[in-house]
Amino acid sequence: MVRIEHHKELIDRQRVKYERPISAWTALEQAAFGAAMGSNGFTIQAEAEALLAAVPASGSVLDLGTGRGWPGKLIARDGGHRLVGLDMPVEALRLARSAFEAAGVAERAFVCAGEGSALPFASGSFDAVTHADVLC
Amino acid sequence: MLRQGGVLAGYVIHTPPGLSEADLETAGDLGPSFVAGMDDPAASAALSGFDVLHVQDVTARFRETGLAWVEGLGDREALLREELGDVEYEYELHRKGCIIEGIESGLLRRSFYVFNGR
Repeated sequence: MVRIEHHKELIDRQRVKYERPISAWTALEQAAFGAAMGSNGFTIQAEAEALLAAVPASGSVLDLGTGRGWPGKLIARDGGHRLVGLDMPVEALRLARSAFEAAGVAERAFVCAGEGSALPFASGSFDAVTHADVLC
Repeated sequence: MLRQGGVLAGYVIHTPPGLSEADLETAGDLGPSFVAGMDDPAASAALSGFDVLHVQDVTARFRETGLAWVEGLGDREALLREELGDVEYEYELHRKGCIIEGIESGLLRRSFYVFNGR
């Protein structure tokens, strides 16, 4: 039932999303949710905090489908975790990297290009794996 | 990549169990493209070697968030059309509206889960 035939179209759509300017979008986020998260998904601040509460108190986290770095930047910033944000579009990873720098966590939060079905990490590399509405 | 005993946590948009083929098709049209492949995240995780620590239905908040997006898109239509262009603006509005339709027709759910790797 998984619609693999739409995969390339979906990835291309994601690229467009990440390349576009976002100042008005950021203002929309701020007004609608009280915070500019750098997302266009459904994971609001309280949900990102619940995600942080669910992972071990320290250690390393892999954030799958990190997009613009949300909610990974919250986990790295508020939890102090070492974090790798993984996604496919390079355009997204550039934005995530900028988000990590702006959040002051660039020394422990990194980005990596890859997809969930072929992860470029050795077994046991992470204490936690998170994701939020990947591919929506 | 997860160590033994590590945590897998996240939010997943999925369908309720027991949908007909036609409803699954509709859910796939209304929701994220991969939604029709998932109707029970906890069962899928158990099959993959995880123990379920916590599962919470967050569909009501999912709907609220979707409605906030649509309202915000409407409130800032002129600015967003200027910034995104008409095609992207219409696409975003359409997709958010589809998701709300999917939630309200009982075809889409969203869950928060925490699993523990064995």
